[in-house]
Amino acid sequence: MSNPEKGGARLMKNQHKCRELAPLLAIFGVLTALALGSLLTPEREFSPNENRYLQLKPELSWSTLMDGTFTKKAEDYISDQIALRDIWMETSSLVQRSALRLEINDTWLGRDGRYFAKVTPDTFDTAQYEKNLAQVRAFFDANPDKDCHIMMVPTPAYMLYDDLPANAPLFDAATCFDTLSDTLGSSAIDLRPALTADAPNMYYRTDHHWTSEGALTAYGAWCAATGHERQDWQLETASTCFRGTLYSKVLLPDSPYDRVTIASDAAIRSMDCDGEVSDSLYSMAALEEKDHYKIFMGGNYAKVVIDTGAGTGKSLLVVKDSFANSFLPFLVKDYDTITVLDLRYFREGVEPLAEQADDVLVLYELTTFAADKNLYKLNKS
Amino acid sequence: MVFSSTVFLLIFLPVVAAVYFLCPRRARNTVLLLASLIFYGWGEPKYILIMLFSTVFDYTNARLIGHFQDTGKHKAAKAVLIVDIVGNLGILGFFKYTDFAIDNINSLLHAGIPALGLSLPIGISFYTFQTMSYTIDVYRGIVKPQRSILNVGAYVTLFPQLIAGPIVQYKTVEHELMYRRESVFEASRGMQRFVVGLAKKVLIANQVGALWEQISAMSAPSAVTAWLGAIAFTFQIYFDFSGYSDMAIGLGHLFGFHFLENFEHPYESRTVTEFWRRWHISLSTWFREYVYIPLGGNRHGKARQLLNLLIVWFLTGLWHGASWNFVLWGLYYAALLILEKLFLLRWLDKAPKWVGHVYTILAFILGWVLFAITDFGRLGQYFSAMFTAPFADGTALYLLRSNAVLLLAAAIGCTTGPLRLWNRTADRLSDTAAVTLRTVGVTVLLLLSVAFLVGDSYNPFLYFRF
Repeated sequence: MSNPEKGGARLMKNQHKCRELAPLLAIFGVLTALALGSLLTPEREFSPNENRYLQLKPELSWSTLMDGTFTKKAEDYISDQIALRDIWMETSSLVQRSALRLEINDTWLGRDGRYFAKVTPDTFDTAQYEKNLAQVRAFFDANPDKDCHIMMVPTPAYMLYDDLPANAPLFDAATCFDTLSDTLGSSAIDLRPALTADAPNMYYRTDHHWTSEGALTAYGAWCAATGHERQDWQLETASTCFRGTLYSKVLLPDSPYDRVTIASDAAIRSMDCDGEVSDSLYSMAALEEKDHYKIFMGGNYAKVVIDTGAGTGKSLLVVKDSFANSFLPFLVKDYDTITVLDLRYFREGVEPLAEQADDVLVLYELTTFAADKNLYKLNKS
Repeated sequence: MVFSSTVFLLIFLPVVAAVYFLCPRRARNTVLLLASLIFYGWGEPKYILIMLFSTVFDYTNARLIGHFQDTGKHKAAKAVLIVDIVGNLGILGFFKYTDFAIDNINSLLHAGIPALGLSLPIGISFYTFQTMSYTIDVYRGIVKPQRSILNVGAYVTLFPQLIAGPIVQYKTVEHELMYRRESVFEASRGMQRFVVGLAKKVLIANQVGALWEQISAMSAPSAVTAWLGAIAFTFQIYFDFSGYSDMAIGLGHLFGFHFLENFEHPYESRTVTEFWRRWHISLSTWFREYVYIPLGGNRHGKARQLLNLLIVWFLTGLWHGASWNFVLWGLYYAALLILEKLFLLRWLDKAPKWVGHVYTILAFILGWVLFAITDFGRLGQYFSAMFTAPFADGTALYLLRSNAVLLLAAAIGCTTGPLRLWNRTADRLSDTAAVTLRTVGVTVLLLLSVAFLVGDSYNPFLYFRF
């Protein structure tokens, strides 16, 4: 201060200054502590909740600096490696829920801690859905001597609509099922009547898949529609602490845990997953990781060949998404060989495999089916 | 770099502040210049060259203009000024408007000229206007040419307001560029303002922005949904832009600068004329001082004044973006302002207060729709949804419920209410209690902002091999 001031006034001013130091220190304290906390704690390579690899310390070089990749990676590095990353996320979710938001991160917050993937009339691709149905139709038409069926698993949000927030703008699934039966007629197995009875137990609360109970119910419907004799299966609990993909999207700390059950007596001779051979349909190691649904066939592969040793003399070709993983164990007494294709990863022709099979089953959940751009592979030679 | 990023908040800001205050006073403008160049070049290093060119170009021109004025060669001074303005507008025009011009020529003449596809240097519209205020004011004799090129560089590149304003005129910071005195008090007030601006951006603007994005992508929204979308965008642009200005002004305080206010709660206005005195003040001031008044303002009769208004608002619209909807948006405001000048202001003055509020709110909400949608086909669809679609559907109810608290917070937040409430509370508290409350308040806002920023970067890629 260049102006001469009276002592008292200066003292007051100094007190005032000292007080104003508090918010300044608080702000820079928070920022610096976070920066140091983030830079000094060990790097995390993988985020199981997000199911992705995190950005590690980027290499600085003249070329990466000039083309902007260094700065982009540096920004990702700071936000990926920020201290307490999951806690920030949880905080943001908790604040949003306290502000009465009905959805977080494209996930509807349903009744009883149940979460639903948000698919609206604007995000559901009706044109792609119809195109995919036409591909399946053409594939079935090209295999007239085989017993071909399609099972479209109803989207959980559709079956449990009353558990969604009121008026949630869900896409029109009912019309999709109408189109399905119009396009594929009696080849389409309608699972809705069977799943309606006990719908809340047919789907996980924190994951987008159906439960083994749901898959087993669908097995009953499949037997009725295809004329197979229904085999007796018992489900046993494999995990009681599963928090699935939808939990990962909202990260609310008070989310419920799901129970995962398996038909442990579904024995096979061998299963070949893209060259990895095992003697069980279940991958118990998945229980050590975050995604317990991976217990079913260990996840997704381009091509899986299951040798069941059932002695029925029949073989099945399955074209599917991950919903089939928990369903296929119930078929091991009905077929000797089950060949399973995931068209997202399978790059060869489907027709040669179809020729070797007696029966064909297409199994998808409705929204994944509509979003899949690989169904053309069915009819590619 | 943007303020609302973890790299700015956790690394850049603390490091720059520490280096700045550890350096002696005479080195501080150099620190700011270097920091600003890093800030600017962070995403596109090659555009640092534009900054350096602008600095040298405007520094030299201002020195020349000053020299010619001092030696009585006014024509030469004027020639240099013209070169400077052409140079500045030329850069702006080249980067911002070339593709727009090519596009228009192609559709008029079917010429098929390929577009340049240049990426727009960030903030170019802001700093071009800023630097022109310097040379023009030197020519007018309002300020002296700056002798130190470092000071000019610090002014041109000053990172707090570099990329989204306010448009700081040189004359308002001339003194502070050379003789400012930073203080703990100012720095503290500035950082508190910064945090409030950050919260406005991250906690409100980004959230209502997501709502607008969702609604604007809908194929057939009901009327209520469409209005909800328009209101969401109205809040988004205010909280985003005024939040950014708060952060800029706050950072200015940290480094000892006092930028003029840019927003004065514009949504409380009762006329469009008042709205534009309270919205993006630095831009309207710039256009008034450097376009409207030089064109003659209101000094050459009513007809000429109306023409001048049209010119200014055509340019204001075009300044906001290289697309015809922005021009339409500018002319829309020209029309409203002219109507107000002719008779509406007198009417509104006599009418009850709420009439003015309702009229102004409708005016700017409809204006923002014009602003938000660049494609005329989609713009027409959106307006028809607002006025002719079925009144409401389940989606509208759902969106209202899911966003009720957010929209209420935004509605309250854009008025002077929270400020008045705070002042009344602070008056009743002791100084220590008031500071404590403020400290807790800004800390909570900062932590929540970080939580939401991290949340935005949280992109679970769940459908990987599921």
